[in-house]
Amino acid sequence: MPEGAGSGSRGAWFPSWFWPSFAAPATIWLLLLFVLPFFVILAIAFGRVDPIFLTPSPVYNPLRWDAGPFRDVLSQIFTSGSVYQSDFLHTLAFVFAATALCLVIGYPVAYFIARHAGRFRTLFLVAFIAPFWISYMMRMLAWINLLQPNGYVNRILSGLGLANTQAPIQWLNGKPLTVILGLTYGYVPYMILPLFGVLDRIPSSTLEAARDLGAGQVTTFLRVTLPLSGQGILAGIVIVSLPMFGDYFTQTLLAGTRNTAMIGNLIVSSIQSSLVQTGASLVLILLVLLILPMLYYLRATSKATELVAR
Amino acid sequence: MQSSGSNWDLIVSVTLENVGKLAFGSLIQPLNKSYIPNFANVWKVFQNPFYDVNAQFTAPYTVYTTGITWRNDVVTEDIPAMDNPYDILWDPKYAGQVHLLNGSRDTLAAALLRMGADVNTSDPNVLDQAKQMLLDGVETMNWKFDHTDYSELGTFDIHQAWSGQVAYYQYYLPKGLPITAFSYVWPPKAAGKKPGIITNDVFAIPKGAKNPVLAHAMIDYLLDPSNSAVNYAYEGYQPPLTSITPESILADELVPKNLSNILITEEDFPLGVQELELAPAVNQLYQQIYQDVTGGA
Repeated sequence: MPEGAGSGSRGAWFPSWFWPSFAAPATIWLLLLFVLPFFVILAIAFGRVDPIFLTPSPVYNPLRWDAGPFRDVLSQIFTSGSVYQSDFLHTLAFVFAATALCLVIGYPVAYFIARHAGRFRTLFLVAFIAPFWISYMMRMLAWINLLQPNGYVNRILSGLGLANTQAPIQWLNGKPLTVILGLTYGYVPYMILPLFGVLDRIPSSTLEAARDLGAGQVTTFLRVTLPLSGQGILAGIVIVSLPMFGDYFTQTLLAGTRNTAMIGNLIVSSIQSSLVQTGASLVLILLVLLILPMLYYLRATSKATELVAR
Repeated sequence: MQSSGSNWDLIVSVTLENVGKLAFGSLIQPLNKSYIPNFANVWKVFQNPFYDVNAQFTAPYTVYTTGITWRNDVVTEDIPAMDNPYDILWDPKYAGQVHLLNGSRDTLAAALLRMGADVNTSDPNVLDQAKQMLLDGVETMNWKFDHTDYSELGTFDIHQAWSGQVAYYQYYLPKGLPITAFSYVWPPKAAGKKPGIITNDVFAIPKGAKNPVLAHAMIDYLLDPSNSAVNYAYEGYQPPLTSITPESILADELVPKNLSNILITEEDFPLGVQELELAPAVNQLYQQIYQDVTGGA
């Protein structure tokens, strides 16, 4: 057999480039849909602005890039009281709270479906995936009706004696809690699925062994199930939190005030005005911010894979 | 339009501040009035408007004022009788219940008009004062910034609003909320006679439009009074045609009687101020102030 050639399971011969070529579609996709657009964003952030129309004039030669506007935006983020800093802080707070809520709500759901749903498991899984069939924006629009002053949420709360019909809770008038709950509602299915995948793969024999060794249900959960589902928790947190950082229309639809504005709102507002360079700079800064947790996730997953391989 | 070329044959609702830029940048083409015989139906003020001499490039589409609307069953103040109606937008009694329009020109206009300043000012000191007034208001009032107020009826007590939006309200009322619960005032017609914005949107045809004759025909179609009236019933923004008067609009019940003051006549234009084109650097300053005030919300 020629050196370096691949060999199929039944002795078929493949050229050396055959198996690596399977990566070609993904590589082309990555180049066209990520690397190239990313370069355009760089060209805009470090480019020029048309003096009449105030539209961006991208500069594609890195040697002619002007970092001044980018530095201005970066310095604003570290300036106390600036709108950039407040939007970043709102975003961090909302994403942290919503992700934590997604985990608190999603973990028991995933656990139930994986370990206790029995013959109804598929039905429950379909029920929890069903929200994916409706666009995210439509689901948020539905909440506007529910959260109106005379909406069903206030009516239920009034019925329970937790709200006053004469002075209903104004859920849609700039409450951070509304934004957090909206984000949680929108993204919790993305937490349930990876958790389900991991919890479902924990062998029952492992849990039985723990009980055989004298561990009660709680101890088994805390010392066996929870650690084994660590990768699922990490994956769920990453899948849920990353898109939340760029989310803008949850806040726009459910709040729309300055004290709830997120960095996604600032980016959209910049791009829709003559401040496109600001928007591009914010995109770059957000990207760098999100690379750090992504790198941690990749490192944690690769360490876990190494442990399993040993 | 600059980046994607002329994918459209007709642009609708171009605001006045963009007309000059579009013409200067050769992005729109002159109109051939021989294809628009119904142009004779428009108000005299638009036959030769200041922003487009002899109406070479544009035809008027709608007229509207920017005023204040409120829930008269909740708000106790007599806003039309106030010396400065814009003060109500800053009244802490209604904190959390006041919405402002979301646009750099309209949001800043609320502060500039309250100060009695020019809505087209380029004076950095004046703009700085307006910015500070808005930042103080954001702090105390927690304004929501939007222009889809018709879909949020019931969530605000007071709204800086366009007259055309108010015309929609009757179709989006929450259960149990009658249209008579809403009132509107345009400050130049209130007791204090404070300045207020009045303006119009226009049609224009992009240069390089693939079907320019059809575009002209569409403009002509919409300047026909009977077609325009039908469009008005959907649009809510009043067309500036001589045969469509406030009396005819009320007779056709297109606007509720309690909101008849959203209707405009040609004689109202000298009473108001218009948002004009700003120099690029000033325009950018307005947008930066807007962003600093709203945080992008």
